[in-house]
Amino acid sequence: MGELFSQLVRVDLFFLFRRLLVIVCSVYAAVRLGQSAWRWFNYLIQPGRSHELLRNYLAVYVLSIRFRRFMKDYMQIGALVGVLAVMIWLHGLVRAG
Amino acid sequence: MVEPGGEQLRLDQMPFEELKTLAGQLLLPVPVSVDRERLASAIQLRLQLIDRLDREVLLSIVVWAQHPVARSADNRALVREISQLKFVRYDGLSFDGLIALAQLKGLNIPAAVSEHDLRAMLMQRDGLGGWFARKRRAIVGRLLGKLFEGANDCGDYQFLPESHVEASLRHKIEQQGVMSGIASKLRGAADDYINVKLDEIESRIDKKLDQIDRRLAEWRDREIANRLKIIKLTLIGSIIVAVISLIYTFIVRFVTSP
Repeated sequence: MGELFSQLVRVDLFFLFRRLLVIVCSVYAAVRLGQSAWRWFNYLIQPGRSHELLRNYLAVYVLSIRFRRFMKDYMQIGALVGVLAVMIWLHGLVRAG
Repeated sequence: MVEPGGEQLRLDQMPFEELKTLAGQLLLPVPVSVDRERLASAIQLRLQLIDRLDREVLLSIVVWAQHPVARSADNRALVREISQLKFVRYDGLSFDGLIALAQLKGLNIPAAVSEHDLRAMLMQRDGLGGWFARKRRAIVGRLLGKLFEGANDCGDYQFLPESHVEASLRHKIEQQGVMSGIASKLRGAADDYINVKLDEIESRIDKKLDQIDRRLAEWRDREIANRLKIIKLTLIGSIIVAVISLIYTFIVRFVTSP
């Protein structure tokens, strides 16, 4: 019991917060995304003329997206992902010290 | 140059943008730096080439591509349909069709050439982008075909109905007698009136549908832009936390425990 307590005292609170933040955010995003996808799937899978029409219409709208229109956003996201990757690499470098 | 309806095609009086559109419809590449005169003369040459091509061969290409067209469509209308064929697989197209397509695409065809060579030349002209587009379309087509059509196979090709010419009153009276001829003509006039009105209603509905389509497309793009913004904000938040974490790790590693 005493050993467990002393181990808990040695736990770095910032690292604990960082780890918890990652877990909570990832689980929350995954659950919300899954819920939304499941709702749409259940709605669209229903039989009937109106749902079939909606499926076709959605397919046409998805296929007619012009990806080049959002090229600037994609590039920004790519750059941000690159910066994040560099940050993670720097963490490894600092820890290896 | 004469258009199908007997109308004179005056290239020298056409606006530059219309010339560019016409060039696209005639499968003529339009370089960015092209000037008006050069484009007009290229179109002139292309129209001469199209008039020389065999109509039946052009028709066979359109039928092969399953594009809707009337059986009596002239060379230029057929080429306009052919111009919409981009990055297609050339399987099943006849040898004459391949030759005509290669000519329209401006390829130099050697004297002794096989069907295989022609297909290879056409695919080579489409380039790497064309190869990707063909593969992408094949996969998407297979998936969506299964999803929406199931095992239904497409039926035989059907031509569009021909526009018929209304007989004159004199001809009708000669054929059917005075009263029947006049009644038939009046009925024809009433039918024409109703047809015109129906066309007007149809065009209004089409305009409304286009408007709805545009609004839905705008809404979709706005939604995508919002989602991308959320992704960017999430990434920025992650980077900020990563920077704080990096500073903290640095302090813990090198300052507090040297």
